[in-house]
Amino acid sequence: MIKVEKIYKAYKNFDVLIDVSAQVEKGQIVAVIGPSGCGKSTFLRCINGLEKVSKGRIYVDGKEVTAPDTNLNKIRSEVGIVFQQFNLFPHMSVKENIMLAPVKVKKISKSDADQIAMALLEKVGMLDHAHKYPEQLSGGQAQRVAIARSLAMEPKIMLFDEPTSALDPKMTNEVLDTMKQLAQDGMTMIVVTHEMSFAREVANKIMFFSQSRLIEEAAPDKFFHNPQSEITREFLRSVLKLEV
Amino acid sequence: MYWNDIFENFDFLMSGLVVTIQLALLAVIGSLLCGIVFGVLRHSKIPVISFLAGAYIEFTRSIPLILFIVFIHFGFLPLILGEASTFFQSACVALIAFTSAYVAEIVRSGLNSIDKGHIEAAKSLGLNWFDRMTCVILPIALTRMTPALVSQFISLIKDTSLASTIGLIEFTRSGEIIYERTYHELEILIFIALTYFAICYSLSLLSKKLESKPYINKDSENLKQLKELA
Repeated sequence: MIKVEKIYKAYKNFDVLIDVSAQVEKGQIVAVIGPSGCGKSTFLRCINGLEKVSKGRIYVDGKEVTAPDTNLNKIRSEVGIVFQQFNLFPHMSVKENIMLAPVKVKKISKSDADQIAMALLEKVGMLDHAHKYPEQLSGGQAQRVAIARSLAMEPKIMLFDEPTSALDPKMTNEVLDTMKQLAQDGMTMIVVTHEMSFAREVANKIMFFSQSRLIEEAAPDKFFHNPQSEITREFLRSVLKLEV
Repeated sequence: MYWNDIFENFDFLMSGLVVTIQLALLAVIGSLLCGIVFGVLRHSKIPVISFLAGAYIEFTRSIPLILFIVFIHFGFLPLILGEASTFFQSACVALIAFTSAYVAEIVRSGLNSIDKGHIEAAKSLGLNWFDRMTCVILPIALTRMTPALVSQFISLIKDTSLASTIGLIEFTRSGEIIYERTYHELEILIFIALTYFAICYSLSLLSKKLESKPYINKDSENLKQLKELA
């Protein structure tokens, strides 16, 4: 589904990603973890072309994202992304936020988009808030609307960039529950997160980044109990107080 | 005092006011549209486009409006059209060309103020450049720019009086014509000044009202509750 081949990313003199290669299969749920500033968010943003790689190739569903003549808008319409700061459009109601892309990009009728929006709002438990504006929502509610907005394009893959980092514990659970439900529906997901419990319970693969490199990839069981790299062990010891 | 001068020449003064209002309305609409286009071009990431728009904006802002009006009426428009333009046409083109440079700068700063996250969200949904601009970026920016735009348009309304220099009989000039005949300047000038004030001040009040409008639905329950309380 996603194939990343030896990508590098540098800002001026600083290397953000060094020689990262990875593969994500259909239906897989990947948790990307690592200390702040390790390049995990940049890795995620390269997948839908929000950041341009300096070197290397990325394929999404067989199409090359990194090719100079690629139609990024087409690829982006098939790859949903949810941001830490929600980024709902402040001048549109919740429903309008969700309807915008289906109407403008997929050219479906407003009444069909309306039905899609209402169905998705029901799915994320926000049906009662359809006519509110983003500034009237709590963080957890806003993030669930942001998820619904991405889902409205019926993406093949969903990317999550620290979706719960701006939320308090109660709101975090609201959002994680929505994501778990999505995982059960078989969505392919890549989640950059600091929520180790989510990574452990829901993900079927962990990618661990440190100092701009992909250090280790493994199934959660193996990753948390029998990590191969000394850097991973060090991280797990300091973050989770695990004896590994 | 000779207040009667006003009433005796009321129809004439009003015909001047109508010209002023027509000119101002056309110039507001024209300079808003052109200003948005120039502002978006100025904001462009393509260096040539941004430079050309910037050159136009800086050049225009460095020249007195009165020169602009005279130049457009006696030089530019006759050259383009191949015949003399009417006073009204010239004044309209000059005011639009002049004010759109200022509007462009307001638009540019409005575009710069947009949260990068909103642009990224719009990109990520697959919206193309045009849809991102028209559905997301400009609507957010325009709301923020309202106070600056209104203040620019208030200047524009007052600037229409400069069209009298090429001979257009708008509001100010119609008053002038009367007191050149009667020599009672004071009364006419006071009347004209108060009329400009009434127009510009009501615009200013309108702007304050628009400014304080939050992004909430008019039908939303919150507002209903507020109304019930009131």
